[in-house]
Amino acid sequence: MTRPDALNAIGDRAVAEELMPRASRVARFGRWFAAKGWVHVLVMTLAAAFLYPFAWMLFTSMKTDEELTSPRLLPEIPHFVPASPYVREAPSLARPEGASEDGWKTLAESIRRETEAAVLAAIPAGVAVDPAAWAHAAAAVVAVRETARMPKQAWQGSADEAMAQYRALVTPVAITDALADRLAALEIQTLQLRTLDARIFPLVGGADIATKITVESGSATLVPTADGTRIDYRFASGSDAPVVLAYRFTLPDGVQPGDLHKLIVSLKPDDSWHRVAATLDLDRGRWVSDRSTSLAQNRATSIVFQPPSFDDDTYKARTWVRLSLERPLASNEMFENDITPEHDRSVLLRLTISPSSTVRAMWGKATRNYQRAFDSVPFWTYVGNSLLLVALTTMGALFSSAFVAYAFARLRWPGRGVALIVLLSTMMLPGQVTMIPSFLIWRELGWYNTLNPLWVGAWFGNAFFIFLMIQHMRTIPKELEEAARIDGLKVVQTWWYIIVPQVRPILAAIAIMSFLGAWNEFMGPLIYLRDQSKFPLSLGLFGVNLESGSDFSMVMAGDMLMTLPAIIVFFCFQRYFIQGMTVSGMKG
Amino acid sequence: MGSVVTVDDVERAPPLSRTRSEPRLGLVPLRVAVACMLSLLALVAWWTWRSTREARPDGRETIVFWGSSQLGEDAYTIVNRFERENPGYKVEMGTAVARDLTGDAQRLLTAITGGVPPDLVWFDRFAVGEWASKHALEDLTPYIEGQAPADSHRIDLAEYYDWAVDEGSYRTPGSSEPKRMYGMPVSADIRVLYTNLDLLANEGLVDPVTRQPKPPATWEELRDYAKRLSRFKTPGDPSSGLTRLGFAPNYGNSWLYIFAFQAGGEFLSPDRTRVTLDAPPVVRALRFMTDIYDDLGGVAQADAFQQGFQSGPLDPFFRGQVAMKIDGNWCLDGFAAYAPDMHFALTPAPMPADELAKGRDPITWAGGWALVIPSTAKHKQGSWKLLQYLRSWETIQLLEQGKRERQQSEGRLYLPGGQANRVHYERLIKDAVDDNPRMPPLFKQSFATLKELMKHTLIRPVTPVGQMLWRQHVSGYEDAVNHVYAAKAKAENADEIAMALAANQIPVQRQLDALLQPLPPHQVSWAPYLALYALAVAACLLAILILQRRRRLSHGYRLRETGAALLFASPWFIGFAVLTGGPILFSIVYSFTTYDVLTPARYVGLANYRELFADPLFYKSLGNTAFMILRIPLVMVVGLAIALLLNQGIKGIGLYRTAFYMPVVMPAVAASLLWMWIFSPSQGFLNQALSWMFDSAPGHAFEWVVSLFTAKPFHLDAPLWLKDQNWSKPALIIMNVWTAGGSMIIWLAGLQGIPQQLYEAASIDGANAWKRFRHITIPMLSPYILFNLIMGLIGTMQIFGEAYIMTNGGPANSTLFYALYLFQESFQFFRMGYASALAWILFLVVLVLTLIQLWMSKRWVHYDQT
Repeated sequence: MTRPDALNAIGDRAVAEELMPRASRVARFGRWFAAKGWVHVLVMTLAAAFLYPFAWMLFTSMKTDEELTSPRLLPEIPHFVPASPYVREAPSLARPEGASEDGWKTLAESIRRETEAAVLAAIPAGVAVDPAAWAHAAAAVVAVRETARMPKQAWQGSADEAMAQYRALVTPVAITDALADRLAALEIQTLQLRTLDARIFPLVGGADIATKITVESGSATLVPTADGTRIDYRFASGSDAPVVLAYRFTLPDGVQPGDLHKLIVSLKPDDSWHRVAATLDLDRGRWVSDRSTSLAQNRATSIVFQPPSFDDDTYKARTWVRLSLERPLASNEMFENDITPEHDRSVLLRLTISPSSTVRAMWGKATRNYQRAFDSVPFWTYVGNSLLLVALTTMGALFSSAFVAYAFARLRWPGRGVALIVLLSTMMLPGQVTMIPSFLIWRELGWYNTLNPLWVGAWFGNAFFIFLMIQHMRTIPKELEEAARIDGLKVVQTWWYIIVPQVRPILAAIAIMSFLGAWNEFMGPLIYLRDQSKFPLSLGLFGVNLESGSDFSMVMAGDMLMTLPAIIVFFCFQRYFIQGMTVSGMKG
Repeated sequence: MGSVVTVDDVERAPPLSRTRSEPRLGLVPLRVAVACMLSLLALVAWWTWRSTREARPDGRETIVFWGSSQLGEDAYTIVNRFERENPGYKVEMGTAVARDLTGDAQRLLTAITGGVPPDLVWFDRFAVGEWASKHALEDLTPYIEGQAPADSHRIDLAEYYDWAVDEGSYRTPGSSEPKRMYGMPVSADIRVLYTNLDLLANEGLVDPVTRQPKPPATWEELRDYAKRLSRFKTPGDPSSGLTRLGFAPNYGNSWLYIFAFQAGGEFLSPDRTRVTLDAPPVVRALRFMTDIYDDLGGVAQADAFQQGFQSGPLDPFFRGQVAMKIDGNWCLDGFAAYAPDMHFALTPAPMPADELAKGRDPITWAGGWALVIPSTAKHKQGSWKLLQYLRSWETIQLLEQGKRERQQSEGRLYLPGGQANRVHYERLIKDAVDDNPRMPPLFKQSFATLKELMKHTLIRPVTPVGQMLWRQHVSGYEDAVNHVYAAKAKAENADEIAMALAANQIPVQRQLDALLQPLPPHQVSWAPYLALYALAVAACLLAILILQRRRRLSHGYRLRETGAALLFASPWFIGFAVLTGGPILFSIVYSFTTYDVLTPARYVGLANYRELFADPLFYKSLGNTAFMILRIPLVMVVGLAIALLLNQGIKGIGLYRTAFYMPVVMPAVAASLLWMWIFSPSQGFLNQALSWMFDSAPGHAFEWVVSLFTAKPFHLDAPLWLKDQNWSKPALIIMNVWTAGGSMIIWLAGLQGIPQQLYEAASIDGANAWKRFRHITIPMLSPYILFNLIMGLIGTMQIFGEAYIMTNGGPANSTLFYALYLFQESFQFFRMGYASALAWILFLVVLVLTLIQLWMSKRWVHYDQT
């Protein structure tokens, strides 16, 4: 043993380092590295490479669709937005094709200066943001858009000519568009009501909203705009009181409270990740939304609020926010809302905008795609079907492997040798060989579109599991059984009371393998199941990918949800699992 | 996680011993266990009965309606209205989960053959003829003729476009009987050219007089524009990859059909009995497509550039990444929703100049959807009622009104979708476009063009081999643009395009011929086979009993024990007889028949096998599968390398082992979806990392060094993976290597089982590390190698899921593996006889492989003496 190793063996690293000169410490590290360290480094690098796809899947599942093209691994982190509206970041202006490097520098500068001046002059009054910053961002947008529309020959001529061409493109419309584009603002465009029998009633829209809706609490003002009403608000912190907007209206003629199907709020969010929820006082009851919607991204969107209806019994993608009856209204509340037994058609809609602190916003963003995955398909139905399949398959595999193996491992009978060879060779048989006749058989039984064809087979034994079991039963000492026989146990009793307890570890291994097998099964469901209500997760997830394949952050979220149970089961039962895998490789 | 078994637990756990915490299984009284099991089975039986019975508790008839999502957001509201109007019906809506709505009716047809079809289906009109020919669809003609004149939901076919009605109707090829209608046309879509006018202006492609951007009108212009509007990573070098696509012939929705129609081609002879896929006009059209792709640096470049494309607001056309495309009229919705201010033009797709000179009108082709009622549907009257209701002006108005209000409230433009009913369509256009003062002129103009084109559009030929024709036309297109036949054509001094089309036409013609011939005379009757099989099974049992009696003395068999053994083995016996042995034998019989499940099987002798050995796809799929054998040694080597590293006695082995094993545990569907995106040329991290590496100083240095030895400057380019026929299989292999943790576990167990003394003795004898590895480790591991090899081979023959999910066999059939081909033939084309022949070949191949391996193993596998 070398000196540093000996010291190390004593275990007091601090003392060792104290005693050692610097050079020898380096040498010691060198020796350790030569002996063990390189293995660690290599294995760690390899492990990182193997785990990277998981990390990528996780982080992609937390991105918005706009971030998907970026090569960054981590999603952008949203921050607490104290005030809205605010100015969005300016895009950068790339050198157009055909422009020379030097010439472009000066040209870009004059484009920027001139556009900013033009934009600054066009900034509308009454928007509480820094005009200079807004003009800068909007000018950048104008420059990017309009330079792209110029013929490339323009850049090869003189700078003045190019500027003249550019100027001609910078119209007031282009400037207004760019200004709107760079202002992140929460704007409500319309409110609409739909009835169960498909009638549509626009309630209020555009600039009218500013007069019809009132700010009940919180620091906010309503500002009419070109096609809606902007809500300027301010939060001191993430725990500040929410902004509450109230809208009182009377149900349109011919609509009874029970006819209400949905209330649609069309709005343009401000990418603040603050949360919108609703309460609805209608017909002597107070309805509340069962979750809040994050104000994510800047695209126009709608929030649909919907009390229970026939939609709830369908597999329609849950694109709405459910309203549930919280409590009956107190009499003073009814009075406030003008609700009397004769006149029960007054409605009060409250929209609550709650601030999201940075942490809250991050959580909102991280879970958004998961929420969407849950909503777009009957996720829990799929999970339930998968679990049912897993349970029935696993039970079948356990029973049949332990039961059948006993005949092969512990009992002597003529034909056993031949039967064993047949059994082993079915292990090699690809499932596709029997796929067609099996389909025809299950179909004859009327089991198409039931889960039965997917699990019944497991009860008749899987050659591989039986084989594993045989290997193990053979190692059990003969004496145990003989003692039992002498005690007068019947064969079945011997099997149950003596043999089965002995093979528990291998039963555990089989259970895990068949769990994973059933959880992953894809071709069976693809062939045998018709109704969505019977789909397991594997087929369901494939369906999600087919219907919204380009929305791959959501697909990745679904993917995570399908992977997690398998990984958790693996972590919890690793020991048996690895035992099972190891054992299966033992014999050639 | 508190319950996780720690690393060291795993290390120390003695194998196969019981610990106290395990459940005390086996000590539950046997009676209780049996009772539990029986009650479970009873429960399952009841539940199966409940879920398959027809009647609903409220006595209403259930109409299962597939494809309702195509109706849009308000589908459920509409259907709910129907239920209120017709209290006797309950409509259940579902989705088909079809991979590709154009070419894959697999799920529906499995349901039809499975005996529980949906009652009303939103079906690709193009496929109606084919399934009508197989008697899978209900003839709607009597329903239409039987409508009462006063029926408020009366369907008047005179209101529909003729071509839409034609596409939904069918008669046997070569016959002159009147056509019957099997699919009620619903929607209509046609293909037009979209041009980004800003990019045209930018490129100087303007009308010399008006100085306004001028969309191309002829093929010649189109090709020129395509080249001039494309941009490459290295300017002027198409092989460096695209940064902007001027025009790709098959991007959007055009296919060979449009170009072939324009050149005057047809895909079938007028009497529909001959396939004319290789007729000169079609060849000309395909050459035109191929030329444009070659101008762009090859189809793979264009495909790779497209792969990262997103839909909706991030559509590449709106972002200027694509300058021109031929696409469906439905794209207008996208413009209205996300780019209402964009300067674009909608024009008829360009025609060959000489065809225009002949005075022909611009040509396009139409597709669309139809509503069909499966012939085996349970509630046809109800389905017809629902169909009528869905086609009524009232319903269409409600649906469109809902869409309109919704879009306008979000500040978007509403545009009516294409209708197969001309009267409805024109009414909708008048209302929403022509009479709408807020409609931008660009859209008004677009709709005028659409209305005009709709009047005289073509459709894909109605034929019983439509799916096959579609598949082969795509395959011919892929072969041509990928230059699959280039070498062969050069050697034979022939035209590679014509060659590709001729080769791909063969199976279509063969299938058509088979359909047109009278049915083979002999139906299969199953009773004798079943009786024979039952006899054989009984004989086996009898043999056991006889042997038992005979050898009672010589071998000491006891009757009691044999009886018990038969009881214990019975689940497997039954399972084997019914689910394995029987099916194998029956699939032999099927392989000598033609059988589509809907009509009885008929003997055809050796025809299936003859066809199989002449089938290029059979060889292609075998070859593809054989290629994947490469993954076995790769996975083994990587697994062994990791196992050797982990076996160096380092700390934290359990943790590492878990890390390497995690990919194995990941569900295959999930892993496939994940890797699909990892391999995405533009958005996957793999190519992002590779292009970053290639763009770094060492990357450039490497390029420079290699360039010294090559004629052309050498470029490192990230592969296009699943989009490139040469890289698709290696990509799948890489994905498999990721799961090398599975074999690692087995190696690790093997390595830990090698006695340390062997190494010590060898060291004393002066063996170095390599020699110890070569002469001790490898021989001691040989049983594991054999095991891995056998399992690997069997696994390789069965590759299905990842190929089905990730590539579905493409590109250019490069990932059409044997099992996938078998699946497609059986459950997509329902050629059960042919597929059974394929299955039998697979069985023989696996049998031979296994025997070879077992024989070889005797020569080199070292078994431990114990």
